[in-house]
Amino acid sequence: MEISIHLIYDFIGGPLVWISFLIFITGTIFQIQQFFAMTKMQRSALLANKPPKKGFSLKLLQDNIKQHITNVKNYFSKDNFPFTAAKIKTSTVLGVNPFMTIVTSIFHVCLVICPLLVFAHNILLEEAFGISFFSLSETTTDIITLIVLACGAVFLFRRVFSNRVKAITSLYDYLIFIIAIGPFLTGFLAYHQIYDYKLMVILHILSGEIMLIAIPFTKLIHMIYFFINRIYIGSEYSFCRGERIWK
Amino acid sequence: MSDQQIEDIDVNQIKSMLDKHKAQMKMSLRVCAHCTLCAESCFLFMTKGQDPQYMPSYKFINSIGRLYKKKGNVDRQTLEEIKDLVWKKCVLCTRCYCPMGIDIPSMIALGRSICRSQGVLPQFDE
Repeated sequence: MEISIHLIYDFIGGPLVWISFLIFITGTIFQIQQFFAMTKMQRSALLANKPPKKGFSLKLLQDNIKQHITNVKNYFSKDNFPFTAAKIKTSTVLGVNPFMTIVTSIFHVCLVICPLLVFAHNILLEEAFGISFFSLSETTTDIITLIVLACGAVFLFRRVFSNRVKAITSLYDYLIFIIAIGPFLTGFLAYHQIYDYKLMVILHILSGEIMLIAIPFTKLIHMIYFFINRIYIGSEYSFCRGERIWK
Repeated sequence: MSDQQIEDIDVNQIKSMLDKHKAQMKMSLRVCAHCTLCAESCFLFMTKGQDPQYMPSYKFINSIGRLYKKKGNVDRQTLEEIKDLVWKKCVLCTRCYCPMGIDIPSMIALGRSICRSQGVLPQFDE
């Protein structure tokens, strides 16, 4: 039994790590490539009845960013004042749904920074490549993990009890939830040596690998598409006056 | 689904209409995190007692999402149900907000086009 656990540990902690990173990176690049291949048409070209400009245009990107800065400036300009609480409350998602906006923002920031800055991960990175990110203290990452778990509990509560969320929830949503929360829960249990430490470490590595593999091919791709969709696609809520159109 | 009902519907036409927007539909359905943050941006949701059926995400998942998953193989009854969602429960005011940037109105509009192509559309006297 001991030998088999070691064998499993060696495989999960060795080749499977590389395989999962490889799938994560190539899968993500593929999805980004797909996005750009499927959105070749440009808003300005469509309006002018011309074929879309090809290739990457730095000027277009600069123009978009400038426009976005102007939009933000206008939003906070004198004309828009008094910038009252009532205005925020009615015209922004933060105002309309403050609790969920704050919970979801904190959850996503913590979810990304935690695995990158946790001390134990950086030791592994240092051993493998000789370089690593800076690490937060173990207490800090422990708190961040707890925050992720607490936010996860809020999401789960909504999924189970909120009528509006239940209306569009399927088993797939629970699966995605388990994939996203699994590495944090097992990491927390392993760090505090709750239950069987060896088993928890194996489950922690395995769940992390499952999450990495799942990102490009499941709903978790919203990690990438949130940014490229809101930046590049032309829409009222585009971050940088997006130019691209689905076609 | 009886053979008669399938014959009623031009599945190939629905398929070709869906295919034209496949990329956008696929991405939209995949990226929707089912977060329901779009709900309050729909004035109908707010004025109809916050009935979940009026949520933009609900309308889009159960109309175009349903057509996409069934690859257009739907019967008239399904299109009638979709008709209810895309006309009675949405006025296409285009005010819905999605954190992921999904263009829900264009999806609902496509749902309307598909229903209309099969002669399924709202009647004033129904």
